[in-house]
Amino acid sequence: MRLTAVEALKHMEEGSLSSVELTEAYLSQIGSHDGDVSAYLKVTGDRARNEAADIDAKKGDRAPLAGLPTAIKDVLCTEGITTTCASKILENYEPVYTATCVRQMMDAGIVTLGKTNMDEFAMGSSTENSAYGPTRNPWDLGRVPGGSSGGSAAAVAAGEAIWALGSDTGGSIRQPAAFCGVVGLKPTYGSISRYGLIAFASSFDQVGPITKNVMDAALMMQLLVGKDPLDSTSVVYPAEIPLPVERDLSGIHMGIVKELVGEGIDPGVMTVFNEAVEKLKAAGAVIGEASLPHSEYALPAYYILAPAEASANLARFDGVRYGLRAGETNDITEMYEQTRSLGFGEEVKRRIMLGTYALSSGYYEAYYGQAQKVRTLIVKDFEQALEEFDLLISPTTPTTAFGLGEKTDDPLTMYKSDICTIPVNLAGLPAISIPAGLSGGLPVGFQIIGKAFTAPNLLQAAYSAELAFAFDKVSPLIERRDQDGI
Amino acid sequence: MKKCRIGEKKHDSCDRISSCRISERKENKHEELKELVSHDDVKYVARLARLKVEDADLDRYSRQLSSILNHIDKISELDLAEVEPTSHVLKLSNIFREDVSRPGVSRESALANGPSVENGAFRVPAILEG
Repeated sequence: MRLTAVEALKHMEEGSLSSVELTEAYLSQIGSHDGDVSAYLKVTGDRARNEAADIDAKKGDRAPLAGLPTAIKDVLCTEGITTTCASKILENYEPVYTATCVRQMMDAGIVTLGKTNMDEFAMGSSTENSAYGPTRNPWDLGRVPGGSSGGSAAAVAAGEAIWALGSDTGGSIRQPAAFCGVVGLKPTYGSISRYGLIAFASSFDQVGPITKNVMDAALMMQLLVGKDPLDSTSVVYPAEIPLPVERDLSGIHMGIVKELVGEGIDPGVMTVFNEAVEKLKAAGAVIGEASLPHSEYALPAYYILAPAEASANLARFDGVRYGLRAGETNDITEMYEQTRSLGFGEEVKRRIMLGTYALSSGYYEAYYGQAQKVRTLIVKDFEQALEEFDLLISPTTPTTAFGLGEKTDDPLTMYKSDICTIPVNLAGLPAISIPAGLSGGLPVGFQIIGKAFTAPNLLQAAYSAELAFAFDKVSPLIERRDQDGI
Repeated sequence: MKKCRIGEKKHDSCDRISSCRISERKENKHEELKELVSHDDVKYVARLARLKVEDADLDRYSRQLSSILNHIDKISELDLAEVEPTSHVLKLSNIFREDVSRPGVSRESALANGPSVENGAFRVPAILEG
């Protein structure tokens, strides 16, 4: 159960582990624990067993990811497998095409374990906004796994998937990875195709890996990056992404973002962060202080721009072409309103209204126009800081995983759990969260931010950092499994 | 000062009033929490977004949206007159492809998820009166 994707591939190639054995181990872990964790919205057990058996039956060359049991966030379209976005409005939606990133993984031989829970339409930071009930944190079932990719992060942390696909609009890969003690990478905007990713905020959304370690994240990135003719914002990745190698951090200049380590960051998180920085210094990194002077304006700007884009993107859910339809009346407006009111949850409605308000006549310039200008300032802040430093570092989240229900009454408090991750999305940069230690028994994530389209450098530095941190704790659900063997 | 209440039906007639709202807000800066979004605003915005909001929920939405917008108002501290807007982080423009046909989604597939389908088309309530 502790085998990483890279290790499992090696064992399967050597013949000491079969794809069926590996898949059965994960399905049995799902059977034992997903009743408590609820990481999955749908487990595709039969499909997984068939895929695994096919791989074992095949002779000759193995596909690059052959036999790796994978979880897929339910925001990604999968032909023949219901895709709900954790929304009632898509309860029975069965896509007629598969997202490019999922197709790439399937063509490379993964075993499909199922679709993971999330905040409805990826709007949220705790996976409590799912229409199908919350996911729980495998480290403490009374706490949230983070969000919106909470199901994917919890699945990896609970040993219910060897790795998973997530998506990150304002921190939705990194924040749950931090809360669940796993690795999560948001690639540079444009690195991975968004075709088949159900759109939330199109100028921010990006698909990425949630894995047990940095090496696995590099392996998945190798496969996923590149231009897709079906996503005109995807680009040819400018470099090969090698797997990282054992190396120290000599000569690497890292800047601690001073605005993201001050007020509002939990002291326990800061203690782990500061210890981690000392370990990086010991590994040869040159650490200095960096500044993103406008970062306090990132959250306000994001909460205009992302809901504005969402309000336009979610206009397509109107009860005509797919999904729920309510109110069979003679009045089409009545039908739209009833369908959308019944189909969307609270947070989704709130963001649609917020975005509609910001775009409405008379407010457009005051809100949307100004927020776009703030975005420019944040892009420039990062450009300047990354001229001085190779990489920027901060805690991934201001606190460790919070309790279920703790922040559901006040949307603004919930939004603030993304203060360290949102600036990165505004600038479209790549960033990774890796576990640095525990505070009060809960994982603390360490964020490393790189320059655009430099995943190889970012992954190499993150790998070296991971070696320096030597974080080897796993959730109690995996520990229990370890005691039983495999 | 000219006031704009977004809830009023004649809203379209008062264009370019964003400045009026901004100055209104600046004057009120000392107040701790302003009700930026009234019940009427909620109703108006919900109508624009084709959402139905029950009367019992108006107060909650008004309070929550106001609280979020109060936080967002922080942006008005900045002098942004000389700053160019960013709509997209990649400097991409005019992505072309060869003008050749390629396989698309079949009519059958396209209709497969339709909640109401008839004669190879999506069925909807009447749009035109008559």
